[in-house]
Amino acid sequence: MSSALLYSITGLGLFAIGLLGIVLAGHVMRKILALNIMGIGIFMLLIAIAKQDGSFVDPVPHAMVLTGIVIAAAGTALALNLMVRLHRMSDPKQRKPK
Amino acid sequence: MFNQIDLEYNGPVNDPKASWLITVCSVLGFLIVLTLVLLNYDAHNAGLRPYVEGSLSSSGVTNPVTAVLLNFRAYDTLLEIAVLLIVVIAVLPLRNAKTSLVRCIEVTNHDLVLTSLQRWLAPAVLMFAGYLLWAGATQPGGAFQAGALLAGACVLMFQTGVYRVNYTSIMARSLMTCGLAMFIAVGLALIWFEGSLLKYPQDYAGVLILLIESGATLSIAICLASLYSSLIDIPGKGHAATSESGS
Repeated sequence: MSSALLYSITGLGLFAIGLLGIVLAGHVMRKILALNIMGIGIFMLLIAIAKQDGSFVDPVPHAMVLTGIVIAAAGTALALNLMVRLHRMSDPKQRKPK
Repeated sequence: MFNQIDLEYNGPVNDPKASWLITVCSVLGFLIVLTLVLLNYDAHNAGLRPYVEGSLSSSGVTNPVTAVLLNFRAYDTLLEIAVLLIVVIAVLPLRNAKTSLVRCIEVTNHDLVLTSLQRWLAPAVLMFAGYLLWAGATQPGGAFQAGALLAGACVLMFQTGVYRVNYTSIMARSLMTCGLAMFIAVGLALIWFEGSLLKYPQDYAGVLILLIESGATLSIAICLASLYSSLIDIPGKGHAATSESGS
């Protein structure tokens, strides 16, 4: 088993863990974290596929991942901000006690 | 209007165990199918690498990833910086825009480790970011890595509390937009001179790429740092106003 294949399968595993988290997690925070794990799995798969043969590396997936990381960070920041705003807008008196 | 918002879903579920089992089984099946596809995926062609290598000499840089990012697929990078700016605009709380960019605030509790760490690390990080930006032409590196490093230095400064950056000042806003503005300006100038958006003339490609990357580094650093601080530095005044209108 080549290391590229191992990384690809690990990426797929991370994607599945993230997918499970998005579906099963109750809290929005956990869903955002799961979405990030899913994205990292996809990035890992792309990087591993770029070096499938060992001898050559395709630079286009690398550039795509570099773009994707910045977009993922920006999207996460937007989602977290929306979550914090929603939490602050809700009335604390009517919030259900945990 | 937002009287009751739950961030946690606690609605009626008919059978939580069954739904959990169904989800896990379907995701596992999906994973197995994808793994089988991956194992049978041996016919990997060379991808776009021959095309990249063939025209690398005319791109102005020698690092293939930088050539793809800023020459062959420069549209992607342009739109990416635009997306980052849009997120910052969506997140930025509208506050007082009259104060200066960096303002020293009074430090009440001196955290010796963090403060001295920041004093030692910030200049080194600044220098290393400049090196990464310069090295992007020939080695792995470039605008994004340098910008992320600078943003890390900003976060460290934020944590120590010595400097508080006002991200809504005119100075910060112009720094955030300078990357995109420089990119668009270069693109428009190239339409004028070369007849096509972001089609660099061969002699000036390296200089133009470095110019765009320098602007993008500053923008990315300030944008990422403002996104970080927006999660923590939410003003209490706005909070009180929204909760009053909500009740």
